[in-house]
Amino acid sequence: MRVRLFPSLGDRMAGITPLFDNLWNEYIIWSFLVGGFTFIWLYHHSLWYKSEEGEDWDNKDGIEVGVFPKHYDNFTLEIAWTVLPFFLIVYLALISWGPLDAIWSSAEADGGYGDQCASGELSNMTWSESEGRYVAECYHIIYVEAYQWGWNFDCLEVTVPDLCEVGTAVIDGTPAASLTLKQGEVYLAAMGSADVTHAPWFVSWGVKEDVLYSQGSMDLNGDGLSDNLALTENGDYALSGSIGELGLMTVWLPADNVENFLLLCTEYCGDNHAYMLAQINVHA
Amino acid sequence: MKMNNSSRAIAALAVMAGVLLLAPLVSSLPTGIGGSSIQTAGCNCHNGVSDSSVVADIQGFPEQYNASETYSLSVSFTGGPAQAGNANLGGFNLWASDGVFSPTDGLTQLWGGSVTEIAHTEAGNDYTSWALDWTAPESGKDVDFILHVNSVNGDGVQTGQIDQWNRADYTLQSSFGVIGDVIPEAPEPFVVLATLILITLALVAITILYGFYRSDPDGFSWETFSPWIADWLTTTDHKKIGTLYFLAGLFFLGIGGIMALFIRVQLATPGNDFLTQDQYNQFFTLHGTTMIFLAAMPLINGFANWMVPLQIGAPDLAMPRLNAMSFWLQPVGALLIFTGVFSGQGADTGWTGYAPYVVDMVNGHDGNTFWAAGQIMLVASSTLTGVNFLTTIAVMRAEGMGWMQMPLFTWSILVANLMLFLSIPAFGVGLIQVYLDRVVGTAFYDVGAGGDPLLWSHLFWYFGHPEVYVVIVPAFGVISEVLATSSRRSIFGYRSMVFAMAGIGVVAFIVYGHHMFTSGMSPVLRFVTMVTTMLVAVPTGIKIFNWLKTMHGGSLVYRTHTLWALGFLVTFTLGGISGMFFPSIAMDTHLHESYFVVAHFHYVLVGGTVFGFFAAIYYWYPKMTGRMMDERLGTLHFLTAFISYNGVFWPMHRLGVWGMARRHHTYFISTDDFSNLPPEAADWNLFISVSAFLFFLSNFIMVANMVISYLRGSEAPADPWGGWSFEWMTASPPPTPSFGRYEDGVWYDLPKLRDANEHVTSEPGRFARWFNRLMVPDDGNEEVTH
Repeated sequence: MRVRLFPSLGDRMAGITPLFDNLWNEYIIWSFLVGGFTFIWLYHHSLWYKSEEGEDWDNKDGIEVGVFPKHYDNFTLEIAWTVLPFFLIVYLALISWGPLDAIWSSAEADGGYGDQCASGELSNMTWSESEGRYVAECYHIIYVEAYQWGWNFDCLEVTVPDLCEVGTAVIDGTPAASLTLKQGEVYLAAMGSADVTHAPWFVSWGVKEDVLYSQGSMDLNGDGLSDNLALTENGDYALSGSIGELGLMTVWLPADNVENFLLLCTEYCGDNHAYMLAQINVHA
Repeated sequence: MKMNNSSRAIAALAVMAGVLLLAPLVSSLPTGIGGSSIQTAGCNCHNGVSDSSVVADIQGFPEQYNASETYSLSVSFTGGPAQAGNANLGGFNLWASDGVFSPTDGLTQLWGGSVTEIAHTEAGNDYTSWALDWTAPESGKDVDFILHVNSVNGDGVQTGQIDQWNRADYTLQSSFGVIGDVIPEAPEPFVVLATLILITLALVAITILYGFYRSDPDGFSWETFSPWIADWLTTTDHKKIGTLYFLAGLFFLGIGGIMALFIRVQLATPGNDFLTQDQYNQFFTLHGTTMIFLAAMPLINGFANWMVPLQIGAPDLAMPRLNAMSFWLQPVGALLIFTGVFSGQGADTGWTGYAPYVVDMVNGHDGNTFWAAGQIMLVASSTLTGVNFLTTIAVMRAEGMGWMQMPLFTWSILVANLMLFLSIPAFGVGLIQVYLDRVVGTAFYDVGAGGDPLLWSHLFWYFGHPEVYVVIVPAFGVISEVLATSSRRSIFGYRSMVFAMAGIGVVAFIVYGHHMFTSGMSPVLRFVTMVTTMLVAVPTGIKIFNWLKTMHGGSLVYRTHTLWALGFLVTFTLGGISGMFFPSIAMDTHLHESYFVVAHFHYVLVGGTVFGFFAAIYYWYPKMTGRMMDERLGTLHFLTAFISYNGVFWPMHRLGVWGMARRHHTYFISTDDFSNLPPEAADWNLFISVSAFLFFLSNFIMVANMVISYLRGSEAPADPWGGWSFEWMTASPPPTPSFGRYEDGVWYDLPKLRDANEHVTSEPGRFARWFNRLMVPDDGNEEVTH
């Protein structure tokens, strides 16, 4: 069962997907403990040791102008608040490492989603209580290309429209691209940029990654397409090389809920950066 | 007859001026018409004056344009020598004061790297009419169009009486905000900004003049004012340069604040059109650049200039003239950075100036070149400042003041300048590369030519992350001084405070990769960077706990600077806790570039650095001016600013978690078609914007307090708070030179530090001896004093 602290942030807590509920909860708990400890100490001392201007006071440390005062220290205490935070940091680093592969992948990494699905094969994604994350039998590869100021999608070898379909949407009165995916499927997005650096943010999934302009993203062969893509014999597009060879960025997209949400650009890229939108639709 | 040098120079200038006047200011080529003066001088390359037989025309204009709507226009001309059978027929240049032109075919092209100017292409040189699209601006101001057309005979000669040209002017009104027959002009934010800057400058000038008048009302005359102001402009005295830095820093803090208010007005409601996207991008770029480089850094240098020589018992900095040069580079840099803004083409890259956008000559603004040039000036200034402070602290400490007896504020300036000195060259290199890419055409960041945009990210963040500590560490020094003095105790754990600051200085250089977690970093390096970044919390935690323990058993006196120091502890702790979310890579993928980040760094940079500066102002103002500040006004300032500040930045955490992206000109509330931000996000944004105005205005209480106290405040004693360091030994304000007297090349009567800890006097420890050898290699184990 997934529990999320601060339900007032609740279901609208778009930035924190279920994959990271435990991590978020741990950080919130430790934030309260550390903050609470510090603030109670601060308020206690600032009130308890209060005195008035002109009131007599005990000059314990020999404060005198032109004289370096007596040292006021305690080696044990200073070591204690060096070592204890260090242990906390080691712990937080360890728990932060765990869920990383689940959503942020190198091209070759095993994300726990098996191998690439065969044509028409389904991922059958499920929630693993033991691992605290989604697992699947296989995944689909799709292509995302950023340009000033919009997005191009291609379903590549995922030719079943139910699994992946590219279309258009109107967002805030502006035409934009849309990508329709299927709930319960896992997608590996191979991503490139046609001009400057962009960063797609799949808001409801909390996924973001920079996409860099590279030579592969140019149209050097003059066919009107990024050279990352090549036309196949059956009229579909495919990647012109492996993801690693093309230097494409990759992220996992586990389509867990039925919803329509926005894809934003979160690496500043010029005039229409704020309107560099696309709509992601996940259907049942 | 022999000409003297002046005559020769005048003659040379006259010839050059004549050549400039005679030379065509506009180029008319088969590949297009353009030139910097075409809108004012006309297309004089074809003839000295226009010819009325050539008639220019634009078809397709609406009576009034709708915001953001695209219109198909047809540009044409009749008359002149153009006729069928010519090798070429003519060309055009169309300029608009706003909106965006788009070529629709191969006959036209955007001109001069601008979207508001369009001309024919080489293929288009064979036509007399051309088609193009123009997208109206988002705001409803009138748009001016200037069309130039050439009618040519096709012989390839641009000048002479045969080719002819003419000009046509149009003004297109907007349908936006029509009231009866009156169409109101939308406010031009740059004009508003310029007006506010000029008003602020005028107020500063009036305040300075009034201060001078009040210092001696009976002796006031312009004859005495002139040498007084000249003395300030040419001074090498560390205190006066400190004051200049301080005034410049406060001025730009206000300017940066005004730009923040523009940003907040834009974001007060979703879909607001107070600023265009283009303007918004320039405002947030200039806000960040101004606050970091033109406000925070000068304020640090202001306090450092004032207090470091006083605290170490030195008469001045080691290199006073270099110090003056460091300061005067700053206004020059600022002028360059702002030049782009007032041309309407200000830098629009964000303060991070990411490549390759920063070298994008098509969509990026010309102001990016000025931005890079101005920043290079600031890099030079910071480097010279670093040399000066490191030298001063290393070799000019008073007798008896070893490294481990320096006041913690001086330690903080030493650590900050060491960090700056080691990191800022990387930024300078990157800026020069950007400048060369933009001006000379080199290809450091041109991907097509094999350039690597990630190189900029590395160079920038190798500097950029330590820079964040450069601006916060001096605030640590201030808080250490203020809390210890207010508690009437020695700082708890002096040595661990020094090592913690030094530790932050070292770790600062191995954490910058966390800014690049989402740029394809290798998994192993991600983990290493995650751990090193988290490690920053250890020395920072030591400092916070030591500050708290300093109060233990003390006698805390509540003065305004004490309130700001306690406020700092609250806000900086909150900023530190939220900062722990980012090194956690899995969290960072969610929170990166969201308003959670904006909240975090404003809690650190405003709640930390600025609150630290406020504490410093109230703490050292009596020393600097000889006048006590009003405590009631100070308390009112603290209460209003502290509450409104938290009203601005605390809700931003929530907005970031909800998914509001930073550097976006607007935000999207969920609709039936898609989910994004909840409707409450609009309410919170409005709340933040109102709080921002209150926070901005609350700081005028402090400015008023400074002015009133300067004029009417009670006289300050030498040591009003009971501090121990040397600045409290000298008079308020201190004389010049600050300590001692200089006779026959020798300083006399410089102060000597005594130590209440007898066992360490004159016996520097192993660390102090090692550090001394590092800083002053020619000296043996003896600690150096001047």
